[in-house]
Amino acid sequence: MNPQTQAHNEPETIRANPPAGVRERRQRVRVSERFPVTVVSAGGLFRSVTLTGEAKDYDSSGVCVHVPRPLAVGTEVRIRLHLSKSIAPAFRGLPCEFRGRVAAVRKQKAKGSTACELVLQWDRLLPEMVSKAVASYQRKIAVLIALVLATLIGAKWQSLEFFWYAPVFYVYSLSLGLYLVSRFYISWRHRAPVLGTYTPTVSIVISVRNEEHAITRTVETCFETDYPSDRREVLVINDGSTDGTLRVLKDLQKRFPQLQVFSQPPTGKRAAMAAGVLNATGEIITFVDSDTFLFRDALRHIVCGFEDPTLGASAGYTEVENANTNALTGLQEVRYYVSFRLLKASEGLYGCVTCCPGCLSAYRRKYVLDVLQPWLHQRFLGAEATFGDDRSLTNFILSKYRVIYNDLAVASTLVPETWGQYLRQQVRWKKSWLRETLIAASFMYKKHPVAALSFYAASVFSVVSPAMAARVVYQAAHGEPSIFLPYMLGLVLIGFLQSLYFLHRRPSPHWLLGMLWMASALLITGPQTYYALLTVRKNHWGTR
Amino acid sequence: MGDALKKSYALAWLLMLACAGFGVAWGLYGRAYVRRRFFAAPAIPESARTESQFVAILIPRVRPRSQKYALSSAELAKLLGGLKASGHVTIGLDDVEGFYSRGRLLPPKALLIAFSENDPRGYALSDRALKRFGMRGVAFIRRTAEEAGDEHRQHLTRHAISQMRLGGGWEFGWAAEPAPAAASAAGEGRALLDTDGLPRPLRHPELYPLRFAASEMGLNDALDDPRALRMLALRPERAPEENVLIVGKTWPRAAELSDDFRADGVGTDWIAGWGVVSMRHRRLALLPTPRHTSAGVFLRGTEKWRDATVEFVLKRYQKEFWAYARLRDEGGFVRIGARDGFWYVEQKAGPSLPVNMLARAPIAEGSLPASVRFVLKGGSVLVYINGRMQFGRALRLSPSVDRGRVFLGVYDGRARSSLAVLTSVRAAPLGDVWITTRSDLRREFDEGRLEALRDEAVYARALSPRWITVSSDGGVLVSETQGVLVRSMAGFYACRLVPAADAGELASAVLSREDGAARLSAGLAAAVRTLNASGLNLRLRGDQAGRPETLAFLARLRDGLHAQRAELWVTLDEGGSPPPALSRAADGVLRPSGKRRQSLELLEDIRSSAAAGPAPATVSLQPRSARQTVIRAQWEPAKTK
Repeated sequence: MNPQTQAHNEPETIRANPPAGVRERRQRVRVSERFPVTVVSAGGLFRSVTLTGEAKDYDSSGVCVHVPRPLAVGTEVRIRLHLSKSIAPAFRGLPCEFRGRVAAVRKQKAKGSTACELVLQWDRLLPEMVSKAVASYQRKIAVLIALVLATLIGAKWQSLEFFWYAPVFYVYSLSLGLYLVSRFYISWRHRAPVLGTYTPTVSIVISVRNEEHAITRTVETCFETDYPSDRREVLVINDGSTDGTLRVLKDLQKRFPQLQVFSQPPTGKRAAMAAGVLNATGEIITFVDSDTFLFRDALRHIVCGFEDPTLGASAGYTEVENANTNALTGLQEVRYYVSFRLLKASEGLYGCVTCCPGCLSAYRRKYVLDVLQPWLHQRFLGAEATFGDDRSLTNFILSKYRVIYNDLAVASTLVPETWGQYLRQQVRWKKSWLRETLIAASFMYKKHPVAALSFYAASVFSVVSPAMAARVVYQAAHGEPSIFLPYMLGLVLIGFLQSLYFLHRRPSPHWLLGMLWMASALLITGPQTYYALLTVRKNHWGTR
Repeated sequence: MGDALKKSYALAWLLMLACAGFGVAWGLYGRAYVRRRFFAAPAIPESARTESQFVAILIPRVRPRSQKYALSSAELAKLLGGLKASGHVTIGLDDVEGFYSRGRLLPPKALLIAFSENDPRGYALSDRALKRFGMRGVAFIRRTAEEAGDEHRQHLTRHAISQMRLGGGWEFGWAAEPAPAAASAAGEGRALLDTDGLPRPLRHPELYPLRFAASEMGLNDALDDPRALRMLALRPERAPEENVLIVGKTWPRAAELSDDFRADGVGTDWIAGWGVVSMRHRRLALLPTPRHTSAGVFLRGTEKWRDATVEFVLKRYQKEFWAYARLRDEGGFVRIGARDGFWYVEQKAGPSLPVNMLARAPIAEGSLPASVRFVLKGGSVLVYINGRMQFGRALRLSPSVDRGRVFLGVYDGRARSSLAVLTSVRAAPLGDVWITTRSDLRREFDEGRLEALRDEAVYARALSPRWITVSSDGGVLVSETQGVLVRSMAGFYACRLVPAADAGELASAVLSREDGAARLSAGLAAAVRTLNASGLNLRLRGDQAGRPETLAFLARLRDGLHAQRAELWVTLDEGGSPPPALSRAADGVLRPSGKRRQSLELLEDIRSSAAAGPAPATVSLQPRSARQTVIRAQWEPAKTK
């Protein structure tokens, strides 16, 4: 069970002299959570009974289900449900079928009603059954992934036949394929730092501007982490908010007296972060965005590895809080997942993460102080750099130290819910990527060759791919579609591969939106690279 | 910690950069270098360039396995192996260009192998086969991948083209006229191929000095227009062995063809032109298809025939039947045929000229099946029907009707009403045979000798009676015995008259002295003048031929004869190859063929007996440089862009 869930649920009151099955249940942790359940009694096709009900509570040995009519005690049943967040947060929504039997029946008191509560006992312990179901599910997805990989490799293998006819094109095509496929292998090899006893002092720095609706929960989750409170401090820098953010912060200070609030005129996020660093006292600075909510153990995990003095920064994993709002947010859920678990993990294996996200990242304060001034006053092409603060700071640290990724340090964040917000965000990210890639290119060759080569290759692909896509579309539109289908097949396979990767770890219906993400990357955000290139000197604050 | 580059990382980078550098070098130069160095076709030495004709073949698509309209790679390998084993030597467009522009000769059995597909995989398979047998190929492409805008799987890229060219195994031309800007993509390929055989109008014809058309024939020689060359399109449905045979038969046929159609089906000796051509049950039937008015069949290997003999047995005909000889694409021919109860002999001197009748004779009732033979000799044609010479004389032909193929056809103005059935066909090029005598002709010509003379004179190029005697001291005596008979025979059978002079008894001291040689030379020239002959046939012993004084004498004599527009021929009494200097000192060299009939002796031209194909009917009096001028005149230099 997720310890986080335990803290959110109170155990039920237990009657005296309970029935035998219930007595055993009292010895396990019971979780009260309502979710739909279907109970099918054994008896073959024509004699079985299907009852649709709602689970009331469960533990590792059984579940109490409210159904319209009773079944005989001892009846063998199959229980169909979708895993809830409390049962398996990583695999919530996965449809499962567990076997059990009716241990007890509690009839309702209402007259004339046949509704009752069935106490069902699992055949095996719930965690064991969940593990088995998850493993079976993952095996099936893994087979699909293997098939898609084999198809992709087969398609690329065919390219070898034509390699010497157009070597430049096929070097691009094959290396792109190799790059993408290798991410799966390299990220699979990545392991998060082992959770030890190292507990340095941590300063959580939150820069906020006009986030009155989200800041409360952000601050709450910071204080609800299981990190020793005497070794943790929380600082919020209010960067000239014009809404009720300051009022909210004052209220929060009443609830959390340790909360430190600093206000400054609207100077920009970078200045706010710098102010936080200067005012912080902890050895480790953890930057958290003002619309990001930490998981309970996030702090303990993110400081892992800092015993090593060569480590300069650590990036955590960020989920999408509002994934179910609409297709766009669902699309971003897949994107975040793939981007963190695949790309960042690949970088992290070699200590070369190029961007510690502003949502959740930790830096060794000493090293940040060394670069604070140049970072704060960074200029690019004669203009002051006011966006891409997280990527920029990462670059300063990465130039001398290692930067890792820890996927056990988890937070969730709010993502843009409209296309306008999303596209503006993407342009900003593209600009910061362009700038910082050029800077990182000057020192990345000193890092591990695989990481360096991947970096340079990814940089080239990001610039060339949109042009290649445009060329293909242009040729197809002008009556030369022969290249279009193979190209699209390749894209579909890659998109499918990444979506399946998401589905492998998260049985969410949003997995299909991964294909939509590929399409948007091809048609919209890819070409934005060139727009970003042209407007790289234009800078402004603003996330949404 | 820190930002220093680790040694191991530096080594790794060096290794990666070295691999990348090697890859670039390999891709740009290495592969081509290896191809050129180890797998290129051997260079053809200048001394091996002795011929003035070549065959061009067009290979269809090549695929890994057998497919419709495509050769498999195994079949291609068999085909190329068979061609190499039969002595063919591959040439390229540069050889063809040099041949037509500068008169640079070609090797014997020169073969231009062309491919006309766009799929790079086909070229990969073809290249493998060409490498294996050390052969060259020419690729005629429609457009490059860059022009086509595709992803390099359906057309060759410019990079691929440049690499194939650098590798030394390939040259490039166009199968469709490219845009001028793209013309340079294939390295300014200046050859065009009309794959369907139909020449299309070009926007810039001046850019393409070589133009090929796919057809059933592929032989080209010096007298062909380089903008109207032929390329034999091989059929993939035929077995490789059959295709090798067909290529072999595309060369000028030197041997006689005798076909009585025992084998069913149109064999490799024939090319079905159009209509229904049926060869089975020991007869050849020609019949137009519905809605068409004619049908015809060509004899393979006869495109360059000049002098030949063609015989056929016509069993039956309806409307019109014609047997053509010296048929050219430009429209000239001579033909003999049956129409409306008459035998006709007709000729057409050029494309814009009408057909004119040379002679006709009624077809006697009951004379079919009729055996018809016509002998083309120089500017004349002799016609025999059922063994009897027709028209009382050789018929004179227009000088422009000088060479072409043999073709049999039927025709009528109404569709499907003509028909011809033949039971046998025989055709052979005319050899260079001369008739001479071992002794003089003082004795009366008996019937046997006359019969022998008539029979041999039909096929002989010249009559060479012993009318001139050379004494040991260099004296010359002329004695025109049986002059009327011999002259009439020469005229009747269109033979040249070149009297023979036996100098076997001549003392070598005579030729060693200046005055002796001069006197003899003048005497022989005067003898030829007196006899009003077209030349002199001087008979020498083998040991005389190589002496310097003999060669000097021959050169002087030849000059003297040329001044009076006569030729000098030398007959060597002993076998073996004549010294090269002798071939240069005389207009021709003969030797006894070993055949004798009655008192007649048959001589053969040493040059034509050694050559693979028929020699020209007459030796050109033009010097070699002038002959090259003839070739060059057909070559129009490409205009610069």
